[in-house]
Amino acid sequence: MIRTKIMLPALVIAAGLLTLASPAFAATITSNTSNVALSATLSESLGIAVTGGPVNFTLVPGGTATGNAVTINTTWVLNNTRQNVNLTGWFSSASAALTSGGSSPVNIPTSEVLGQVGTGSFNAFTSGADAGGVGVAGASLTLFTQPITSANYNSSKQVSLTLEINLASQTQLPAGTYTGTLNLQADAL
Amino acid sequence: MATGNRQFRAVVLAILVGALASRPVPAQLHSGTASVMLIATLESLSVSASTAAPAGAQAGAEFDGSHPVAITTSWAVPAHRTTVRVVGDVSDVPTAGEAVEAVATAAPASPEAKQALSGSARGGADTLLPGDAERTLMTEGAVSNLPGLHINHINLELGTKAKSQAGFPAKVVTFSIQAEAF
Repeated sequence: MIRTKIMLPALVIAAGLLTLASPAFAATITSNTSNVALSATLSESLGIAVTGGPVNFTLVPGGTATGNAVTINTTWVLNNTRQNVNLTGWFSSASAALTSGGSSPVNIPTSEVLGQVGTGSFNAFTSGADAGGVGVAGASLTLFTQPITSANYNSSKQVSLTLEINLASQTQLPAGTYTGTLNLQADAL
Repeated sequence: MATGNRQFRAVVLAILVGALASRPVPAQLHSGTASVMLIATLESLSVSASTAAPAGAQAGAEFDGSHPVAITTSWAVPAHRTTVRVVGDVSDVPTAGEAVEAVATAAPASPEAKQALSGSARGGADTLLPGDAERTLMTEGAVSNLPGLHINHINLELGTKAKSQAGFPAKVVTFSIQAEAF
C-alpha cells in the first residue's frame, strides 16, 4: 500500500513530462509572403545590310544592260502580333531613277529599271509604297514579303538583287554616265 | 432577378469589349534605310558590213567589176566627241613580182560624196588603216547628231584591179572597215 502511494505520483510526473515534450507544443511559425517581380523585355528590332554595291551598268543603246548583283540581309526580332516583314526598294523620283546631272539633265525613269530577286522574274520599279508606307508612288518595288509565324519571330532573310536597265523605249538616250540611288528599307506589320 | 442577371452580364461584356478595344496595337516597325549607288555608262561605236565577198577570176583582168557592200555604222557617243568617221583599208599579202590594187567606190547615202578608193597596198604586210591605204568612207560631224544612237548606211562598190602578168596567181584581198569617234 505504501509502495503504491509512492509510485503513483511518479507516474503522474512522468506523464506530464511526456506531454510537454510532444509536438503539439512545437507548431511551425510562418511569416507573411513577400514577392519580387521579374520583368524582362525583348525589344523588337528590324535591320537591313547591303553588300556588293555600287551597281555598274554598261548600257546598250536600245537594249538591256544587267548590273552586278547586290546581297541584302534582313534581320528581325518581332513580337507575336506581327504578320509580315516586307523589303521594299525605291527611287526618290519615278521620272529619274538615274540622271546625267548637269544643267540639262537627261533621265532614265524607273519604268526602265527592273529588279530581280534571286532567280525570279524582272519587275520594274513602278509600284507605290507598301502597306507600311515604305516607298514612293510609281518608283517602288516590293522585293519580298515574309510571313511571320511562331517559327520565325527571331530570324533573317538574305536575298540577291540583280538590276537591269532596259532602254528599249528610250533608244535615243544620249551617251554619257548616269547615276542614281536605290533606297532599301524593311518594315514589319 | 432575371433582369439583374442580364444587366450584370451586359456590364461584364461591356468591360471586356472596352478592354479589348483599348489594347495597344503595335505600330509599324521600320528598319533603317540602306542605299545602293547605281552607275550606268553609255558609249558605243560599231560597224558592220555585208558578208558577200567579191570573188572571181582575175587573170589579166584589170577590174573584176562592182561588188556592192552595205556598211552600217551605229554609235552612241558622249558630247565631247565631235566626229564619227568610217574608214576603209585594203590589205594585201604581196609576193615577189606581184602587184595588187584594190579599187573601190564608196557611195554613202550621206554625207560623203561618192569617191574613189584608189589606194593600193604594196610591198609588205599591211596593218589596219595604214597611211595611204586608208580611205574615208563617211564622216559625220554634226555635233547635234552625236549624242544618242545613230545609224548610217553606206553602199560600197568594191572591186579588185590586178596588173596583167603572166601566171598571176589567185589573190585574196581583204577590205577592212573601221569606225572611229573623236
